[in-house]
Amino acid sequence: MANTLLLEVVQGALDPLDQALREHAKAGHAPAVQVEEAEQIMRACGLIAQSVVGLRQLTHTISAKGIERRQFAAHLNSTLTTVARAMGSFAAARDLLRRAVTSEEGAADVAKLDSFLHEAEQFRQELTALLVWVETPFPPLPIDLHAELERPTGERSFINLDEFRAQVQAGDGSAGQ
Amino acid sequence: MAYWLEIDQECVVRYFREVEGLSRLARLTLAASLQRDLREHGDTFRAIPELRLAPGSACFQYEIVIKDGGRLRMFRFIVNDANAENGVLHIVYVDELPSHAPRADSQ
Repeated sequence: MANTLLLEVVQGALDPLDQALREHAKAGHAPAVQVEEAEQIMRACGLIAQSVVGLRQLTHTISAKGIERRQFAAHLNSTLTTVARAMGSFAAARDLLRRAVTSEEGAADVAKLDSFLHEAEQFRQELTALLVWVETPFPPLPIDLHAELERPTGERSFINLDEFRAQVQAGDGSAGQ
Repeated sequence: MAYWLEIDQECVVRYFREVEGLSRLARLTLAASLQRDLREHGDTFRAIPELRLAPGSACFQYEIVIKDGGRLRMFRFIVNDANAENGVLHIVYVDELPSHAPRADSQ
């Protein structure tokens, strides 16, 4: 599944980034960050931010194609976890660069990380709202309807799926456009 | 096992004729989803006890999310599989989650 691949990409970029950030955190409150290292951190964050955008597009794409509710909920949950982790890394990277890099370039990096965080936060809120909606259960069926649906189907009239599709294709009596 | 899908005319076909604000593309997407999930992978859904209306029920539910015109909609189909041994699944009921779907057109 495409989202597994994207999640792996994010994971692959987050692991070394988080490791590097942890090393700096251990070093104390006035860490030295080499220019190359700052560039490396920004490259990793850029890749993660791109992948988060990819996950956002994927979320729209899979819903446009139609997706079974539980599968969609699983996709939303794993995406939400990844986005939350990415946000933690962006924030840690921003704090590190803010403290350790005082150049103009450093300020630009901090601004870029702020923008990554803002985008990710918007997506996180969107995912959270979607998840609440997707996990809302349908109301239980009325008991008499339930009993009716359980009855043998012999007395009802059916058409097959291909015929249904042909009717929709032809716009047969549908209320939609 | 692939199934032959039969759709109840009185309830389900009529529902889709009358439901408002659902585009033709969304109807076709629903039909494609039914084909992909129920016709080709019906056994997967039949085997999940939590999807049965009740323990031992002849019916299970299949819930599908689709985006239509920037809005997400969720439909519940009830499938009677009493004739599954003959390779037929009957879609006997459909409704839509009666809550306001969040808009998914923020891009």
